Amino acid sequence: MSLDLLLDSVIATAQHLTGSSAGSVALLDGDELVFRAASGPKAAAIIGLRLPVGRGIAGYAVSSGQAVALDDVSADPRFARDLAESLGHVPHGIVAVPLDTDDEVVGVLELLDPAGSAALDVLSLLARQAALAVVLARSFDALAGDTEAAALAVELSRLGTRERALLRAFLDYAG
Amino acid sequence: MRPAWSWQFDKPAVRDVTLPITREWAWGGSSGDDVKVAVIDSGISAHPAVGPVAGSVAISVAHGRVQLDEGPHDDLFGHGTACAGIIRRIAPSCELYSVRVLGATLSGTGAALLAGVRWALDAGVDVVNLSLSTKRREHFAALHELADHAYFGNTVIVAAVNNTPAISYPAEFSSVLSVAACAGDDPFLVRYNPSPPVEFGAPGIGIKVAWPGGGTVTATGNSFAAAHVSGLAALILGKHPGLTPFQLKTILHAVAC
Repeated sequence: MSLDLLLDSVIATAQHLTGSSAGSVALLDGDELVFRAASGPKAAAIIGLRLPVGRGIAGYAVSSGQAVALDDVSADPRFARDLAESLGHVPHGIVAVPLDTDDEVVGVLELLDPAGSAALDVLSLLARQAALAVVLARSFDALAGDTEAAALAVELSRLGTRERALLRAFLDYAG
Repeated sequence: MRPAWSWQFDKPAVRDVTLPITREWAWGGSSGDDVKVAVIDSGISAHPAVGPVAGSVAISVAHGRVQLDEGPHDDLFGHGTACAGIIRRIAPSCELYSVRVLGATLSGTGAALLAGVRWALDAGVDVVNLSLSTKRREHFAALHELADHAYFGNTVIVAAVNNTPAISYPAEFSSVLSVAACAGDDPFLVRYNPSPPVEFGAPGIGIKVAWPGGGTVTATGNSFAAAHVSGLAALILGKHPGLTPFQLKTILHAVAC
């Protein structure tokens, strides 16, 4: 099972929920965001693209931990210019939701040109699933290396707590 | 778009005690004169909807060292300008201060946030608008101490809650006013949530906000709701200087829909 498959599925769900023309997940690597998965007409061009976190609304979401949706950004071409050039057009609307666990923000889920109204709360829960998958994948990557078994046990026990936290979050939402 | 927690305001408000406090009494005739409001965010850019900025400081952290650069700066993301525009619209005469803590690097964000709140408290501001939070336990104690320091020193911290129902500081502290977005675009709308930690709701769904470059965008997020409550706090303090944060909460609770 690859992380990419899961991220693709999260993007597809988010895109369906919002009626967006494109979606992406970028992961933090130091002070840069690296696009790891994408959908839409220019998906191939975006994957691997690096952007500094001090830029754009995706950078804001990662830096502040706040999900933001902007409906009409085409008048301001400063929005995600690098991304816009890769896409071949400046998007009208952007939704950026941080990928966060209980401990950290690991990246951002971004959607372009959403067609209808969607729920930032539901997108945030989806983004949380993606974030947990990223942490899980990193733990398995560590497992493949020479990491001490004890350290892995600690990491895996933390994942259990996070999954319980996710379940609680869903229950809170449902209730 | 519905930010997290916004569903809380679908329920009718439950009020066991009704106080004789009206909106007219709370802020009628006030424009926020002499009230200092610090926007701890991504900076504030010049914008007609924001007007004059009384003071600015940009905080950066490199190699564990915090650096403060006082003087005008630009908004790095656009977000701080949007929040400042909301506050200015509600409290046209307040004094706005820009405390830029979000920047090019992520690693120092927690330390910059702490330094930013300290700077605002040292500057004697009345209202701190905080649209960011941290999940890092290592900042819990220091932020808690600062939030209490603000509370006992009559500086009200207005904090946007996170967008997932998960722990984040300082929005979870009872010493701050925690805010999420609720439906509606009347800038004076405020709602109370009978099931805290999120205490208040304000407009933050599909609202027009100022954006660097001089124009506006339509934005959704709990952070914009916090800016509305900061503006209301400035209005109330303009008419009733010296109110404590708990008195402010009581007034907002009394006038909430």
